[in-house]
Amino acid sequence: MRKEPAAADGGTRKTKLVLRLYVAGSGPNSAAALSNLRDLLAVRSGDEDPVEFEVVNVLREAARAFEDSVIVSPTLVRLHPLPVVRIVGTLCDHEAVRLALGLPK
Amino acid sequence: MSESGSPPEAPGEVESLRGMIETLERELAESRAANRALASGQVDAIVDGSGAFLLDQAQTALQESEELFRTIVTTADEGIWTVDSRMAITFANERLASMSGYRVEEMLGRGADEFIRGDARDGVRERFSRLAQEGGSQRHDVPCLRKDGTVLWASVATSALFGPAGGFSGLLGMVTDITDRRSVEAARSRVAAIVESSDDAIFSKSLDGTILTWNAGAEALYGYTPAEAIGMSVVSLFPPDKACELPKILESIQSGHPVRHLESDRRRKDGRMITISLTISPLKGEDGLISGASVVARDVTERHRHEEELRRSEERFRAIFQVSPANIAIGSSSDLIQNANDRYCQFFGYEREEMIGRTARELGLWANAADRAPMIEILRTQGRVQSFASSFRRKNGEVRDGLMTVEPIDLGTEPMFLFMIEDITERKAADKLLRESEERYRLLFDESPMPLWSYDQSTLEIVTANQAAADQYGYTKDELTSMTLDDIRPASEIERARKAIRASAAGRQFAGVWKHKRKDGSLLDVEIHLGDVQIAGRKLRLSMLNDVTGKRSLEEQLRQAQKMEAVGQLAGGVAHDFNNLLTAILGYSELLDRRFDTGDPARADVAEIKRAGERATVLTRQLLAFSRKQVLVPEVLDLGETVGGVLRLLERLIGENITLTLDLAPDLGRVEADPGQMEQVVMNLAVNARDAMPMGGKISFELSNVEVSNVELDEGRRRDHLGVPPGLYVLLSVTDTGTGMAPETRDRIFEPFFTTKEVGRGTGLGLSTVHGIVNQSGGSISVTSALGRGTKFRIYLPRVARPVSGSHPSSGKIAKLKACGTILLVEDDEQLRRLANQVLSHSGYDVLVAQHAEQARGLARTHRKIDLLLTDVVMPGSSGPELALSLAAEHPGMRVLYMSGYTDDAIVQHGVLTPGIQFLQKPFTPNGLLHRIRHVLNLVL
Repeated sequence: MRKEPAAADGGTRKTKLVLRLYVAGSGPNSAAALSNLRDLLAVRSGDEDPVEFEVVNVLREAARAFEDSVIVSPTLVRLHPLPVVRIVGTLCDHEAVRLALGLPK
Repeated sequence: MSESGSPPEAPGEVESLRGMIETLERELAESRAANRALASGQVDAIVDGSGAFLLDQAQTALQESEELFRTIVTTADEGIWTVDSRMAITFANERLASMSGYRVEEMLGRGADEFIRGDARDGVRERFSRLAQEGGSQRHDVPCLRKDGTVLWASVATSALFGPAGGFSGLLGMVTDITDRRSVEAARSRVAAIVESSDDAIFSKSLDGTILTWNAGAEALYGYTPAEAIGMSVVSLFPPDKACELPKILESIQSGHPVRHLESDRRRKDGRMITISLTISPLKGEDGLISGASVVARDVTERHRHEEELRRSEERFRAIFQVSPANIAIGSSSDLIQNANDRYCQFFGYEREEMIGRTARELGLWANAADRAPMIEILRTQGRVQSFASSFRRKNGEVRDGLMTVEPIDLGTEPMFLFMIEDITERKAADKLLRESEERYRLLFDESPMPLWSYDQSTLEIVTANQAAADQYGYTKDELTSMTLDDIRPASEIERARKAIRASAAGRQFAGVWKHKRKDGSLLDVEIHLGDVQIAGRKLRLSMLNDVTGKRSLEEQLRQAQKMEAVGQLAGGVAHDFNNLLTAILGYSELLDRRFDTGDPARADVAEIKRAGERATVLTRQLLAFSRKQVLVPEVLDLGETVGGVLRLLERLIGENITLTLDLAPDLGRVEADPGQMEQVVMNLAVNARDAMPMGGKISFELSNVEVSNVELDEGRRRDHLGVPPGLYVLLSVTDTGTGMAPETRDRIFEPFFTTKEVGRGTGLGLSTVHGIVNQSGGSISVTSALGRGTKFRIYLPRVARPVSGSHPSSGKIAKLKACGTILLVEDDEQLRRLANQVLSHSGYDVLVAQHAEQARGLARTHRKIDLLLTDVVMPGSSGPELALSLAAEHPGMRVLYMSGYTDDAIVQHGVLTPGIQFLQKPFTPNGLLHRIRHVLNLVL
């Protein structure tokens, strides 16, 4: 069983989008992924649902990654709304990422 | 899955399956994405249970690369394998092992196709060989076999591998287990099929009432095709007066409450109104929010119509109940009268209000209170009561008979019973009268002394028969009524009788005399009178069956006797004339004979004439015997001695192969008969019997005393003695074991000249003679015979009380004296007269010859001394006896000798000679005449 992500954070029940990005330190792909994700989230209009966003370094917290079924980094995990979605890679294909996360265009 | 008749409860299950599928698909996608990311260098690190490993592209060493590869392969969520160019497995990861149930080592070296289900192998081989030739990669769903034999549905992605030199070196495959997904898809398609095939209308709509899905049942119910309905607003389905329901329904759905079994009217596409039952449930979207509603609708128009009809039918029933001509009440199991119709109240004489709410016991409806318990017992054990006979008391005390029928009825409340009482008071009284009347007529029929039966004219079944009929036929009444008319007829008569019955007209009639068969096989002559009756709708004929067997037989005998009498008269008349002629022939031939010398050859011719004459004489005598015109000289005799004497003689004559027996009853009675004639009877019967037994056999003579009574109870004896007048008899029966006779022969055997023997062997007079002698002796004769069963003659001679005669009255002493004396000869036949005169004169007598009585009287007056009157009996003018009487006074010493061809009442009574009278039978010979005259003249009186 996966750990219920909301348990650690509290209050996630009200949030619409909970994301967790697993990175390998400042590895080039990880950095690219973080950058791409910021870009994706930045284009969102202000009146949309809030986003809870967390970055986890697998080199420091490998166990968390393993628990979230993350086997490579960078991997972006959408924890809420369910189902859990995992996106591997640099997130350079913005359109595909947006679709996978269920974000409006 | 639910049945088609109720709304499906699938959404929850479908939801969970959908979730599983999505999870699986996502994991698969993620796994692929991870691979793609790895392949495209977008990965910085790899995470496993022990930690994260940085991928430093710059320093990637082959060893590390292999380590990485191994890690990926071992941790991948997909089964991974490689095969060499011969398709033998060269590598398999743990995931593949766990999927397939084999251990990795078990798989290595085996052909890949061994793990494919048989029917898919060819397709897989073909694809692999194409990959080997063309390179590239493919993905297919393949049915594989787990070690335990179950099917593993695998989505297999396959790529061709090429060696450093560019040659095909094998394949790399990645396997995803999609078995669950396939079963989810199957489940989903099953749900869809159920929805689609349901007879109920099932559709979904959004919260604003727009129709989203529409099954075939909906099309059938509302008349819209799916294409027309989807996108249409449900408002179109509402008739104006029901439009107000829609907001309420939507409100309920939005608040999450289903609407169940709402009955309302809707409008079809064609405008027709239907009554439906609706169940509307909220539908939740993937977000868990209510996004619409599912509707299950069912046409209840028919059901409503049925309910309406039921209600009307109940009303009708109530009306029928009230006005029914039968007496009907409804009662509860606690015996309370719940309802009673008009007739029921009338039957008991109460007002309805007086009966309802009270029990039969309170009202005292049972005239015999004891009847109630057995009725209740029947109701308890059998659940109903049918035609229970009892009597009931009316309010005014009158008791009526009724048949009670009780049926349980379901009125939806406590158990109820329908009580029906049929009033049979009048019917019972009428039945009693009818029974009495029937009994009277039954007795008239049953006890009738005349045999009666009735039969069905078409089937000929005997329907009823009385005791007299049973007695007459020797059957019981029951036996008779199980028979048909064919059974009592001799087989030869059946067809003729059937024809006669078919042809016979209706009405009372005489049907004639018919042969019927008794149970013992004997035949009856039955005189039948017929009448028509109709019993229980069956057309019957009543037959009166008068047994006339005895009467018929007597008639037959009488006819036979008359015939014999007529033949006898004729024969007697002829014989009389013959005797005169034969006497002349014999007499003159004897006289002629004396004229020739001893050695004269002419004597032989004369002897022939005499022999012929003598044979003719024997024949004539037999004729006379038959016609009972011969003269008998009866004596009282013991027939046993007579028969015994003849049999001793016969034993030597009759043949070696024939046994003669004589059975004499002790104390055998005596009879009065001519012993010579009796000997003749025995001889003739013995000869007749012998001729019937060419192969030999046995002739039994039996002599016994019998008494023939008017009232003979024994059937056999009555038949044996048929036609014999009552009295005491000595019975002589002669039985042979010969060929027997057919009835036609038997009826004619006593006729003269009737013979079954070949021409020349018999005269046909033997049995005629027997018949004549027996009858002339005051006896009776009968014969019974059947072909192959021998013949039995019975001769009845009246018993007499007198003792046996001492000696023959004619055996007087004959004095050896010279012929002398005067004889007055009276004979009307000239030839005879001349012959007798010549014979007597030659012998030395003085002969006075007269032609008739008158002339004889004249001669007698002139001649004082006449020693003997020799006279014919029958003559013109005075007869012989009259003449003898008139001369007796003047010639007291004159003896009389009558001569005649046949006897006559003048000297004999019934042919039997009065004792003391001397008689000479014609024809006679000269010697016979002389001898007799000497005898008479010398008789010591």
